[in-house]
Amino acid sequence: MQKEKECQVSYPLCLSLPFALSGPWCLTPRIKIFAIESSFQRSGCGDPLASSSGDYDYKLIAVVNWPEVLRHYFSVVTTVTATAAAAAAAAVSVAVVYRQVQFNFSFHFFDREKMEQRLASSLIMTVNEKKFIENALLSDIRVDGRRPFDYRNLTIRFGSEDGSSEVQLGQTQVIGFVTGQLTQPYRDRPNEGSFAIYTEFSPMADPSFEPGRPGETAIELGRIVDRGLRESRAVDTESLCVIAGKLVWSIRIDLHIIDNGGNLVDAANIAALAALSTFRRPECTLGGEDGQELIVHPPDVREPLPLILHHFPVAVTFGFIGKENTVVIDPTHYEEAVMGGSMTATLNTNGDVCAIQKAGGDGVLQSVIMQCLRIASVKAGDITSKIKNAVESYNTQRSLRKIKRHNPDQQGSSDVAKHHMERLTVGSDESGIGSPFNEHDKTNKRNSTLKGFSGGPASWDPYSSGVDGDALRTTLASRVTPLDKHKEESSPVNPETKPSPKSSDTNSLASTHEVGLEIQQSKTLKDAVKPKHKRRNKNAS
Amino acid sequence: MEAKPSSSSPSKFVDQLVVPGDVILDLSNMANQTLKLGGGLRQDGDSICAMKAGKLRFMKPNKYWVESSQKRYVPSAGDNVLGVVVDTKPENFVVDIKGPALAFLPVLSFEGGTRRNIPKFEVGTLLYVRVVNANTGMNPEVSCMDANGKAAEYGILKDGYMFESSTGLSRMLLSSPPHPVLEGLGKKLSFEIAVGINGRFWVNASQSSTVILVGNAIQKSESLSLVQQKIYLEKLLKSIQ
Repeated sequence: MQKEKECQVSYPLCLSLPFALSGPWCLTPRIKIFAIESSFQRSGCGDPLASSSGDYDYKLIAVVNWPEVLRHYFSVVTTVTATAAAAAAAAVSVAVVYRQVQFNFSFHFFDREKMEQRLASSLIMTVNEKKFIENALLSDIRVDGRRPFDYRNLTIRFGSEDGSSEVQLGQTQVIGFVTGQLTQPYRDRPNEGSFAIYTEFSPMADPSFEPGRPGETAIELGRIVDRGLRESRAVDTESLCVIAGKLVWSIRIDLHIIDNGGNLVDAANIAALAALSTFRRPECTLGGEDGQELIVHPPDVREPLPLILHHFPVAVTFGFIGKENTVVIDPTHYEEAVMGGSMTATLNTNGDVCAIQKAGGDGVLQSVIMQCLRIASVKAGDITSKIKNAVESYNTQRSLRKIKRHNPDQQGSSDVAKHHMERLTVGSDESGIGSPFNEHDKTNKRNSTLKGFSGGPASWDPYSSGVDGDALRTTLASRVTPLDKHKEESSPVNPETKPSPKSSDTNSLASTHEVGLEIQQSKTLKDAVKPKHKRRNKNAS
Repeated sequence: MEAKPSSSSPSKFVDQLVVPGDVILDLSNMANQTLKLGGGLRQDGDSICAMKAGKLRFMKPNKYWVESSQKRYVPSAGDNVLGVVVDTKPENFVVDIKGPALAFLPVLSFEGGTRRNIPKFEVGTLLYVRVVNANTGMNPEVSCMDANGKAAEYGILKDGYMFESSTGLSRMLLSSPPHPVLEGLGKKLSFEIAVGINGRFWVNASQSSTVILVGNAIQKSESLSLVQQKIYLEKLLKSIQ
């Protein structure tokens, strides 16, 4: 099998000899040399990158690139061949070239393999695909069956830690992780905390992602997400200040792309927002002997605080495909390879445009841009409500977990213990009844199935072995309202500090609250228990 | 020639999932038998063990191999694959067939191909080719002719759309009895399809919506069992009508 290798060799030495005869030559010419190998023997291991294991014959054809060099070279060659001394010099030059080629062989062999690999790692599109995508868009249909302004399925999941989110938008997957650290503030902003966004494009996500320094797309993605959050002041940085001028919280948002199915910007933005919404930072108070020491309370002592997010800037990406500039929203991997230009608009549900990014690509009419912004505001509303729902269900799950966790740690007064045991049954009750941990379902189910409650504490609950099921069941049956009250007390703690009100939740809670109140007034023991609960919450907030 | 061995029964792992390390056959009690080992199996002294995870298959009289479904394709001679031209050289076209190395398609390996009528393929052309030889470490060679030198459906595929699949799905699409979803869709819709064993298939129809429907239906049916596929097909056809 014959293979051609291109070696680029620059050798001022070789040509300078003959050129010295023709005149001064300041530029080092670049000369392309085609080396054709005729015999190719491979060792058994078959590693294509194993160099110099075979024998290579060279046939040297020196072709000069530049026309001026060509002219000069030919003139030189004629003068060279004319004289005997110069002929020797020419032979020397050719020999030097040959040697250099041999020397450079292994280097350039790697180069060609890399070129092959680079070709293989970029997305290989056929002409059929490009034509098909454009034609299908003329009849308003996309390759995965969506319409031009449909988003793919969006799933938002949260990790076990506060501040970690995983977003799946079709095939694209992004993980967001938020952490906080106490640092010194910037000199010109002594009262404000800071936040920074770091992106990592995992090589597992796409064959064209390389490990190491972030490439252009990675930096652009980070900038878009950052601009959406920073310029619009979505994250309240002043609340991150602990001691003005000395200590502030510095929030770090890490976005990891683990699968590239197209439209990384939107997915990364949603991941950042979801992670920021569920992040909790430890509470810090000034204390100590002189009141100047900073005490950072660990999460099990004092409830950590969420960040204050004023609004949710949602990024919506549009792709412009074809000569007629058909607009598609949320382009897939293949559409991104085919599109001529793209635009990302970051908006929130209040109708503010936080940022617009259009970096190069095809030109777009102004009317098209306005239409895109209108569509984007609708989509932003959808996405915001999805994020908020996901965050809410995460928070209720989290507060449930906190309730169960209190039981073995705190063995305080008797009614506190009783109070905790009741809450424990709430937790085990939930698990006994069903898995959907939704506020509605819980209160409804509890009200309806309390009389028919037949199971003991759930088997998966680690603390259930220390609880007497029968005794609790009777107490549970006689005390319907305190359980409702406790559920309401624990969950409104978070909305107090969160700016976005849980409207749907508070509606259902309000109804049960009223039910609770009516029965409440007859019993006074519950009044004694309730204020303690309130007091603890006041300290934490 | 193979003599009748003492135990002529095939391995008890046939048609079952094996993982790397499983000993398929113990050769110590099989004498004078010729076995043909296909992909995914390796002889380790006196035992044959699996190297890949997948289903062990057996074909009479003596062929064993491990079948698994991957996204990547390992070229082997005789396969019909879908390739995309990525480069043109004076001697051959460089074609990507989703394998570890790019394949070479000599410019003369077309029916009636001479130096004067070399076809002009631009970068990105989709071709249906046959793998001529694929030795490890070398770039595979492909051809647009069959073994006899006839064109036989190989060549450029125009229009339509190419979908990616796994090698397992490609094998299912090419198997007989035919794939239920493919058969069912073929009864109701008219389209043409070319399946490459390298995890690519191409669909063409008069309407873009048909192409999209067929392609997505096939892609989604990969993880469904036979019964589920039939149900999915029924629902799909009902939604078309």
